[in-house]
Amino acid sequence: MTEYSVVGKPLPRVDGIAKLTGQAKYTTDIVLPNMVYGKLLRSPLPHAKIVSIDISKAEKLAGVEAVITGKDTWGIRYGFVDTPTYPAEERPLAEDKVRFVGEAVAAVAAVDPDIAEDALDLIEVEYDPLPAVFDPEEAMKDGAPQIHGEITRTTSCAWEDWGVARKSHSYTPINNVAGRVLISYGDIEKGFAEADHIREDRFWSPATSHMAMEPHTIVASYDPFTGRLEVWLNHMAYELKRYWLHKTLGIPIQKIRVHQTYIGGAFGGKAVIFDFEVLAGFISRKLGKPVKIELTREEVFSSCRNSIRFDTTLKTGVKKDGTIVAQHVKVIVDAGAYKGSAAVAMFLSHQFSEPCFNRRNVRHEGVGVYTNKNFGFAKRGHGAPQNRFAVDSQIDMICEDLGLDPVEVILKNLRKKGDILPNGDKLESYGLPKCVQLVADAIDWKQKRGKQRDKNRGVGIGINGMFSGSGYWPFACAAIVRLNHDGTITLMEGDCEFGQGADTTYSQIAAEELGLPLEDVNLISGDSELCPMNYSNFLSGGMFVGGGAVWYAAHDLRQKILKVGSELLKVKMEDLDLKNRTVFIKAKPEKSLTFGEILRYNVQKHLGDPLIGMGYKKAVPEIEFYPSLSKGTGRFTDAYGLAAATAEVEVDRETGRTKVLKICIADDCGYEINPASIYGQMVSQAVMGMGDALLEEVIDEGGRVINPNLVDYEIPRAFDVPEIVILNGCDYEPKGPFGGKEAGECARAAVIPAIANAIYDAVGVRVHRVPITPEKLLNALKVREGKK
Amino acid sequence: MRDFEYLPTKTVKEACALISQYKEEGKILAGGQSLITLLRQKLISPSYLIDIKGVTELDYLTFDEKKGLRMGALTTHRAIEKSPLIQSKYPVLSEMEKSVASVQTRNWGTIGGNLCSGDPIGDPAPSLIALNGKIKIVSSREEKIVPLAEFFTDYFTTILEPDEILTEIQLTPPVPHAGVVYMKFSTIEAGIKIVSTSTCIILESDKMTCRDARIVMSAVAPVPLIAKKAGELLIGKKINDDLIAEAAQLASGETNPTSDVHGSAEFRREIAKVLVRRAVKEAFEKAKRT
Repeated sequence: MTEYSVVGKPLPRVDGIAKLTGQAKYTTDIVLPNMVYGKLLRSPLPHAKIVSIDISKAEKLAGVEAVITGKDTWGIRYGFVDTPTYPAEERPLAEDKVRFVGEAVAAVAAVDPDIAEDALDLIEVEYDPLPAVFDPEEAMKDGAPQIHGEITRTTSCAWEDWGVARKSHSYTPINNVAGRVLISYGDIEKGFAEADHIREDRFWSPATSHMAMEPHTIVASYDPFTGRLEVWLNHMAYELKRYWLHKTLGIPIQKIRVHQTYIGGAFGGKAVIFDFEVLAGFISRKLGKPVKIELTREEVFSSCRNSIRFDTTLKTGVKKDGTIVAQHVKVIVDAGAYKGSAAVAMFLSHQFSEPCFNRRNVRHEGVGVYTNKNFGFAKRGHGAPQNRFAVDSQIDMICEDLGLDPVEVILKNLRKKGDILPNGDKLESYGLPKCVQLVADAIDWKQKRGKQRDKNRGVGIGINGMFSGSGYWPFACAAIVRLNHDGTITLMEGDCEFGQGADTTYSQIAAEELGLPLEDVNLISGDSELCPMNYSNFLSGGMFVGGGAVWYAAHDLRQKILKVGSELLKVKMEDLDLKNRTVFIKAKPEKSLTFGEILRYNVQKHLGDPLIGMGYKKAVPEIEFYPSLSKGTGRFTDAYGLAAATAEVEVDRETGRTKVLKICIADDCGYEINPASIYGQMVSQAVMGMGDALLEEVIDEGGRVINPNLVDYEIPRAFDVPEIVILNGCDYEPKGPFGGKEAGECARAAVIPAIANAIYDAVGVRVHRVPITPEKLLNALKVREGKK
Repeated sequence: MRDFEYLPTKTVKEACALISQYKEEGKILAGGQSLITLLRQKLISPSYLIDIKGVTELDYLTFDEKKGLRMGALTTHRAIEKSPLIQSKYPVLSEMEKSVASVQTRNWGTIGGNLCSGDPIGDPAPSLIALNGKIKIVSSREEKIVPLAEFFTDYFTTILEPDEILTEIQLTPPVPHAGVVYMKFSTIEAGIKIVSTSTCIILESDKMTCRDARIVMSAVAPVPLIAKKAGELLIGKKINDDLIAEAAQLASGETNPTSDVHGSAEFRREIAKVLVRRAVKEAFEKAKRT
């Protein structure tokens, strides 16, 4: 195996010092001359007609500079889903009616945030309440309140903008159905007919908050003389935000600049465009002044996207030995007031399952339903956590029914390296069997499983798979590497640093390829004007796609340097190597030239060419536009990240409280470019998964979120974190940079069923709704006692 | 948050003068760990905020073998938690303080501020009541000492008049054969307490018979709840597991909890029973050892 000197090392983060010393700039740190502050008035009702809005008193308050309502922004639409069939439907401000508690109704800008807030109280809105519906099954019934009338096409859709010859069209949802997916292959009837044992069970996952440390914030600054809009904001890839600011505000895309800032955590929750972001741009243009809008934690809970509510009915048929022969998955997604990414999540819950088990005959049906609640989006795993909780819990139940061991049954049903999935994706790297074995051994599975109920202790297991970026519009990244006079390089790539370690790992990739130490990489990242196209950082494409582009760019420069070196040193390129800003002859290392000399020579002799490396990468090169999400056909990704997790818990039978004693994660991320960074990702997923399993739920009452703060919405804190063991289950990914692929999302979904199954192993009862709170578990224990 | 006038003070006298001047329009700020949240949520909107955090004369911890403990109202939670004096004489207070919110809150929040906020989920009040605590209340008019058990009247409400300030907490010296235990139930370690109890069991010299029992609970009633019937059941009897279980059942029946996002009323009653049973047993074992 090749010896590397920069990749594969747990090097300290390149942004570490800036963050530790408080030098790192976050959006909240951006203060511009004449800046005003925006606040949003949000609906107190889940469903109501807006009869009138009187802003006259608010406008008169000293210090108020602008008050806008839906009349000002009428017709502006945006949305994560924006296709010919489903045109964008979200709007920055409610127009004729409100559809959920927390929907923005008016916006105020004032010279300070307190005045802006006081002005909100002076806005008088007259509502005419409408019957509301909160349960998706109720919402689908005839006669239920209809949340949307016609969803009107007001502009071209993203597909058209990228050259698909299909126009979007207006349509009216029927019975509040926001979207459907139906994916099937094999013969489901035949599969069940062949099964020796069939189970049908139902599981629920609630909405949870991404809980990024930094609440969503934007500064937007429009210059009326140049017509340019400059923004600093929380994002996960600037192309998406820039595109939607351009579409909603009608500003040419090249006149919008997203500046680099650090981002205090994202986890999927900052990828899409939000009401307040469009409004910041809108007001800035109206006033010709910079506008800052910082959301409160309450707004993040009530008005920003949470994870998606899943109700999954799962029917699985197996042979006596546990071999899966058929699986029928029926998903009802409680989408909320707008569709958000409901349809995408319903599809992903299927596709992330595909690299896990060979299920042979599959039918996956999903329906997303509008309700009068806040709506959802991706959260770390996007559909996988909800699905794995259901599937891996049921595998555990099947094993109990048949007297089989879950680890053996999981291993029996896993796919194999080299398998081609029904949609055409190929598993060129596949470390999942190794991961399962590693976590089983680490938790002492054979000694502990089923043997500790007298101590109310148990162990459980879960698995998961995840894309390394996906092939949908315009999922591609480019990078530029410039050779500097002193032999260092400047790397320009667009990914933003939101904690995942992109700045560090990409610098490591470029440094390794060019034989440089990490310090020789000058990084320009996350700026839409200084960096080339970037669309990689969600669906876990950061390393595989963004990092891949960096690798290719560095490789391009490497080849150029070698070519010049070969010209000067009069040897073949293959006989040369790079190290410490020099190119040298491998056989005679003393014969060398510095990168500075190479640069000077090339500028002099080759028409001024200063040696710039370029690279680009797409998640799936074969795909031009979109694969079909609703039918699940077409290629989605070139590499799957994989993970397995086990957990050990102890339950207090008298109170229902679960104490997690240990979590083990083994992850296949292809190759650990920075093992410290991978370790951090895994610990973070262990803790997040534990929060999902035991604690977290955004709870609403009549559509109003009743725990929109960190006192009432509890997450694991330092005291609650158990022993965590992280294991390396990597299988080299031939298409990834140095063999690397996804690492940031996969493991969370494996941890949830691992804990749920461990609870069952400990006390013999199963709670079908996460989070498994003490109260739910105690009730389940009582029901069981009553049955005895 | 509404605008208010901020009035920092340096002495009790100064603070009393200001609060007697503004009465309902004023609020005492004694750390602000609860008050600032209420202000931010606009649940209260005083015109004057009288900050007594700088009144250093109210920050003290003294102990006298005869009189017992005197604790200034501005003693921080962290000071109580870390005090060697508290750790040796009233260890339950130090134990309890470790569970009060976060270190940051404990570093700034004060015991007087905590009691006066009148939040029934607070832990210090039940512990101090279990220890038979008294408080000193001062105003420009008078100075009085009342049992802490009589201080709380309803959710976020106490007997404090608008011009009064709580200045001191008093505890009698520890007695022999006494066991005091703090026990909590929360979903996460440092989370909101769904129920907590501070339970004091004092034994006769036979180390079997209960001489006195005070079982106090948080978060199960509008005020810190003293489970009187459960205590009375134990007094005068030889303690055993059956008696403890019976007392716990009684205590649970004395609660009057509400349902919220952290747990239903029914669940709280159930947990109260389990906690009281465990706490009484542990306090009994402790009392036997002293």
